[in-house]
Amino acid sequence: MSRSGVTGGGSRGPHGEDRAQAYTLEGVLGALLIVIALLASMQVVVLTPATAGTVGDSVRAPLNGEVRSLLAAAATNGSLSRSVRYWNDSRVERTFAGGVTPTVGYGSRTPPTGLGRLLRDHFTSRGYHVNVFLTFIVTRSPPTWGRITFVYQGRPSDSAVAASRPVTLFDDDPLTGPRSANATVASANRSGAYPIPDVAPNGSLYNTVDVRVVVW
Amino acid sequence: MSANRGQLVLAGSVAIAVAILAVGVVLNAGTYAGAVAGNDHTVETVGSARAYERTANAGLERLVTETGDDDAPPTEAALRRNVSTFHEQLALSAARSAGATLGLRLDVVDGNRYVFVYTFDTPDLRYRTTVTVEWGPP
Repeated sequence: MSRSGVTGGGSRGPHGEDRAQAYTLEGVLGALLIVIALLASMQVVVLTPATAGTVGDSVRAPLNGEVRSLLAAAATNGSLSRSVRYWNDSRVERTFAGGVTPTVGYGSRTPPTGLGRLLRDHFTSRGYHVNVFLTFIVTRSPPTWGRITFVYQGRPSDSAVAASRPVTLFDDDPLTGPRSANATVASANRSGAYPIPDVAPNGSLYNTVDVRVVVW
Repeated sequence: MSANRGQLVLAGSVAIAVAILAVGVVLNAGTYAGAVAGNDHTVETVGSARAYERTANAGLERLVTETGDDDAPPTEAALRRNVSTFHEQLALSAARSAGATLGLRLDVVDGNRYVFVYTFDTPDLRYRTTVTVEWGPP
């Protein structure tokens, strides 16, 4: 019969010290296990907050998918092509109909086109910034390119996402600006009103324009 | 009973460690999914291939219509010339924006049906499909 009033519950005796050493060892091992587990978990979890204005890694892939989906929807309903042709038959404006300047296009305004409304509803209304550029062929051989700005809302962060979609223009595609009269892309380019040239003059093809959307 | 106290401490420590590791694995799941860069890149490349395919499809439909007349389908020679020009423009755009080699050619003419072969190649992807356009009077 023993009274275990001693902390640790062991009875003193020939085996007491051995048990104490065993307890100590087991306690140390247990503490070590917990520390290792904590360290391993901390290695895989991001603990610092995201920088303001950046897009976190876990958001980039879905956001890129959203941009692609938006471009696909705009291409399907025709608003992508109409936006590319949203010019007036004017040699004075030198940018999209109602745009701010040739350098920034519509700048931070919402373009008055289907594509502009899609960008507003899906991105700018949620706090994202958007740039949209149109790149077109100037010469085929050797290939040279020209670029015009549709929307410009600033310099993108390093974590911005981007996607692009080609649009094919044909000679008889009409301009879609409110003061475009009956001008086509071909006639407007000849008069100096439309910047994208006809790089296939021997047929009905006109040019292929790459519409690139950057979001951050 | 007292002989098991140390074992209980060890067992409890193991349980706590396992729980911490499990939480870490769950929280890491999202990071891991994003870290598989190869999968993300392939998804983007396939997306580009399909975007160009749809543009090619729409362009070919219009080319077949405009190369022909209201009452006659396009001749093969005329269509091949126009498709060659279209291919050149799309290929330039795909090379520049997606680093891809885009192929497009007329393969089979079967009455009023025209079958085109579309290809989109990158170091990670070989994408092939056919596009069929049927001419019909407006």
